[in-house]
Amino acid sequence: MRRSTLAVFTGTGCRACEHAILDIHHQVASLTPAAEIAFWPFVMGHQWEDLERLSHLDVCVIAGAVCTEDDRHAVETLRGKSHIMIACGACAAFGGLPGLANLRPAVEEHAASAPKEDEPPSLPRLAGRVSAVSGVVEVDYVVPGCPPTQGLLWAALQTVLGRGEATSRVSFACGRLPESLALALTAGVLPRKGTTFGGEKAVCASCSRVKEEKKFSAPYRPFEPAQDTGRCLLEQGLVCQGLATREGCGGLCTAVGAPCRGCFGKATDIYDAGAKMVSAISSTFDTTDGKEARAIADKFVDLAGTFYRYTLAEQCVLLSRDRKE
Amino acid sequence: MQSTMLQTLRWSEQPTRIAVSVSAGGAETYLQVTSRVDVERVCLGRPVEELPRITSLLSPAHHLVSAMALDNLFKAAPPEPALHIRDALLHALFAAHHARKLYFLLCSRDNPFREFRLRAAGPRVACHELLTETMSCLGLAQEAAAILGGRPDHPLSAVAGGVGMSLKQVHYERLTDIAQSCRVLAVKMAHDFSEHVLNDGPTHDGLLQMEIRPPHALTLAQESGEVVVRDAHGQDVDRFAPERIFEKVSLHREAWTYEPFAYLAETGWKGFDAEASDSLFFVGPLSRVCGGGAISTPRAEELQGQLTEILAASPGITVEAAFRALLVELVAATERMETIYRQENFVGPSFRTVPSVERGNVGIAVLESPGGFIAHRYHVDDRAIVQKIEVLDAAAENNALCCLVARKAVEEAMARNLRPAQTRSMIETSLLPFR
Repeated sequence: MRRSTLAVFTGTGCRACEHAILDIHHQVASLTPAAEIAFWPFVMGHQWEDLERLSHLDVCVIAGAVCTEDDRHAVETLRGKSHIMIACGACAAFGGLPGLANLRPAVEEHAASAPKEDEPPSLPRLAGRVSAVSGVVEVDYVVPGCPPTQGLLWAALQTVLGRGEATSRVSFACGRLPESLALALTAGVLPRKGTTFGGEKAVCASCSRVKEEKKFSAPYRPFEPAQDTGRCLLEQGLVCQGLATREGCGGLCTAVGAPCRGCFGKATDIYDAGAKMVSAISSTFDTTDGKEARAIADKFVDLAGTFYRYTLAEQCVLLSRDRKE
Repeated sequence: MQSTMLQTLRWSEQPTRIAVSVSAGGAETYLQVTSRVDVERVCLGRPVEELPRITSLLSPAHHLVSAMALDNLFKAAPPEPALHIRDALLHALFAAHHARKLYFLLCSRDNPFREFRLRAAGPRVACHELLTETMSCLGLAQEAAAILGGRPDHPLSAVAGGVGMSLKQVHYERLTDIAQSCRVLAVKMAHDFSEHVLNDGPTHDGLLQMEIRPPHALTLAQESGEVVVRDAHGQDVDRFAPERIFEKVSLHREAWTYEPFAYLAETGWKGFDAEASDSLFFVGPLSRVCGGGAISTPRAEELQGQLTEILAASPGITVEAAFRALLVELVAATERMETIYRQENFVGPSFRTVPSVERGNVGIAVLESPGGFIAHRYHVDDRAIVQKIEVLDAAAENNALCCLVARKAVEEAMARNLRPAQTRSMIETSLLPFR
């Protein structure tokens, strides 16, 4: 059986996604019968010429955001050569934390003129706006998260590289995936293009915290109250985005007392995560008086930076460049 | 003039390339960071309590120093169990960081994704076993970091005044197991690396013996908590309180790299020439092991003594010494883990001090992270929204040392007439223990 050729690349980001692939440890090596790593600069030291020489890649796993002209060139080149492209992590899928820079204009840009004799080499020009990979080219699959959980990442790699040889090792991931995706995974059939390797429901569905009644008279910030151990953070007045965020992480953040910030992107059927959160939170105000409601609303800070913490570049409808609806 | 571009460098946390221009006057080497996340733009306007999570994109240790800066801002001293959890997390991050560097060193001349049975059957069986040990140590340290921080790469648990969670019975037992296993693995790794890798000069083309004249070293003194600057002979040049770090260290920007260079402000920026400049300093494992004071754990102390003897033999620092410093700190971290990872350290009546209302407008903290010295300072408004942020990531920004190492590696490669691929490999491996 011919082995699939695999590329792994990060634009501008923190390498945590590439570490996440490496951290599957021994299992990564077990991909060897199915995959030949043709381009992975971070680990294998491949150069750009190596990529230029490749006529075709079967699978490309791409992480990081697009912040420079070099990032854009890399993304477009890899897309042109790859049969399947997986956006790995929140930066590649939605712009991630680097995308928050779009809330503030860039102060200066380095010029990218051709270097002259005896002058130091130039730098790739910074893009005026940070984009996700999915905002530059079409991606086939998304593995969300900051960084992606290893179970889901392994499931995605098994699915696109394994060709029907998925084994019991992916059962953990299957248990967290929508049924159609889990079936495709175990059968070795490629899922529908555009599929996200995550759950269909919201994080609240897998959060272990006790939910009672969502009513609060004032929002709190994490440094203000001592939290009730085990109770839903939103019910305590802490802004937690679990109800608008795609499930799949198992409630990692809420389990350690940290509110969800949406690194898996918006949940299925949600049009805009920020709008959903505004709607959901305002319906929990424990008042019917307009002035009181306004006073509560005024206590919220940095709504854009909170509700679109990882998704501002691609999932904020108000900032979307090609809004259709 | 002939120009060569080596793009991109392996194991570099940021997109990095080397540009070499050769002319009659000699070779000029530029270590270019070609993109970086603009942390300042990302953080301005955010609620300050969110910064431990946001700044962790720089490295996991930034999560901890950010939480410490919040402690300072909110004047909230964490309770003892919270301090132990943070300390335990930091040591797990040390072990994971150093094990990963050593993993990369082992993979530097071999495809890490070759099938295990093929690797195991080759002539370098010992290295194959060492690779397995290293991966196991890394995996265990990451598991500990996941338990203590919520996630290993971008931790979540540290908050203003403490930590946001308590541990469970199952965690205490698992952490104890992890600490014991990690310590055993680390001690074995220290022995095996010395025997099979670091003594094996020819397999690394002699680059492990490549020597540079060191600039000053900057560390956080364990005993006094002061920041100490020492010269190449180990003599104190300056000592100051951590709160003064942003007065004492400035950043210099060059048009050919996005990463600024840290230098000692009082001396002023004098360029990259270590021979002439006393404004540069280096940070990280070698800086700490050589100048950060005695290590208090037995096996690591022994290894530190051996390293001191090696260093005393030459005026410069070698790549080998930098890798040995990683081993010393790996062993020290795992020995500390074994001491700290006990149930009694992690239990108590509270895990977080609710910050007082007498909040200040500035929060500052410094930390010795696995990569080197880091510092955060935040300025906030009355609603605790970030108005200004200063982040010193000396391990990344102090890449003047890395420029010197890269320049030296290029000179060595040219003297030996190495091909570009060999030159690149030499640069990558020589930079690995310093970044």
